Amino acid sequence: MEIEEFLASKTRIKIIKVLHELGELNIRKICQRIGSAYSIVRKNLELMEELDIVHYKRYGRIRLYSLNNDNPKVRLLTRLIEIW
Amino acid sequence: MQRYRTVFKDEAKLDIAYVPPRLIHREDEYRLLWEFFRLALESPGRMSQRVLITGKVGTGKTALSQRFGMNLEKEARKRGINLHYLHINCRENRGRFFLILLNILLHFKPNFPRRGLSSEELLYALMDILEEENAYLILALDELESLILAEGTEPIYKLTRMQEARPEKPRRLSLICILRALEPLERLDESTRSTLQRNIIHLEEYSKAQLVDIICDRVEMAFHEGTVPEETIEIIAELAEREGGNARYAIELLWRAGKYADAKELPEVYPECVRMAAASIYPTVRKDEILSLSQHQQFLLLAIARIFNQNPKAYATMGEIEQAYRIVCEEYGEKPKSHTQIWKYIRQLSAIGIIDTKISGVGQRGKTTLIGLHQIPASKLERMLSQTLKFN
Repeated sequence: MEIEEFLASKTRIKIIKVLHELGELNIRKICQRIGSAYSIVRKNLELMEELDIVHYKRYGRIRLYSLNNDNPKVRLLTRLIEIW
Repeated sequence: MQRYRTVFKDEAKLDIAYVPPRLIHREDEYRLLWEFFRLALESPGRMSQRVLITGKVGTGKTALSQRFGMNLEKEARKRGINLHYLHINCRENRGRFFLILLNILLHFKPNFPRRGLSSEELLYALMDILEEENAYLILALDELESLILAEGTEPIYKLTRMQEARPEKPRRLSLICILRALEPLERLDESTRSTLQRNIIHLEEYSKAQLVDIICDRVEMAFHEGTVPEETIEIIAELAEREGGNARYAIELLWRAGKYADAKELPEVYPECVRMAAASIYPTVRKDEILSLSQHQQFLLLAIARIFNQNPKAYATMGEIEQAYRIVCEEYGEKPKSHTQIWKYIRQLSAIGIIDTKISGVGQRGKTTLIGLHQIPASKLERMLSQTLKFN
């Protein structure tokens, strides 16, 4: 996916912001925090997971998503958020 | 004339939550705790430990466990071991296993969802997190009676057996169970009980001489030099000894006496300040204990207080109390709970020592539970609850 396409989504940027701020969150919490619908957040998380931007840990039925800080793109994106 | 502003140097040292760096007259028990948990530092994960700390109110159970936990964590950090000591008060979590586990999980994962998992799943999640973070947890369950009373034996069974379900994994969870007496453990099944009772540390009531030492130590930390005369310390120790060697009572008395001295602008905390303080403390029932009750438990307690405030009798029947409780609920615009729930509340209030219960005997038709209020004046209780409870 091209960068302009990835950054064209407000939801994705908001997800990165909230995960950068709070560390680990489940989908419902992300939805509450950024004020988006569950299906939209889930779809974007799946895409971001494919792109190695986020990953999750599973605890029973709960998945806690966090940013994949090993990915240099993520590090740059969060740096951009910090200085914005 | 010089105006004395305050006798206190550092009031916080008299706070109920303050854990002194050195636990006077608990040195042996402290050493014993270290002995029990030696392996946690020397070869973490090899063995999980279970220790029981028992003793009456004010014998230093909580302080002992907390001081030990803080020092153990520090020592583990020095050795590069990821060890956490967590002190959870079961009563403050209303004896609910779910809430206790959730609080533990929130310590490790502050954004862990509060809904969606059962207690059992939370426990598995906790074990996964410990594994993932290569962490060891020493869980101190204070006022364990509340948990046993509310949920029976299941939680303790699960906590003690959790490790057995993962035999190949390191032992990551150890327990310190803190309770006043061993009786509530009789409800546990024999094998769980025997697992728990292997290591017991029983704290005896403090003697007067020991109380004097404890008070002197706190005086040194909390008061300006020369503001607390010996006679004052002597009186406090005597009163606390009469209250079952209760050091918590002694410290509260000391603090209040200091407050009276300040209010009267006295240069020293005279014995008269202690007498005034003693008249205002009800050592067996703590205010925070009452304030941490659920809204309906407080309604029920308010109903009980009103009954005894209006009638000079020692006991009231369940029927009378239920009727008064319904009136309180109506007043506050809340739907009253069922008879069974009220009965549960009565048992809980009795277990934590706020009310007394007994079964009716001769002179009463049928069999009913009689409820008494011996530990705290009804008028004071009614006033406290009326101030706390808010109208909808």
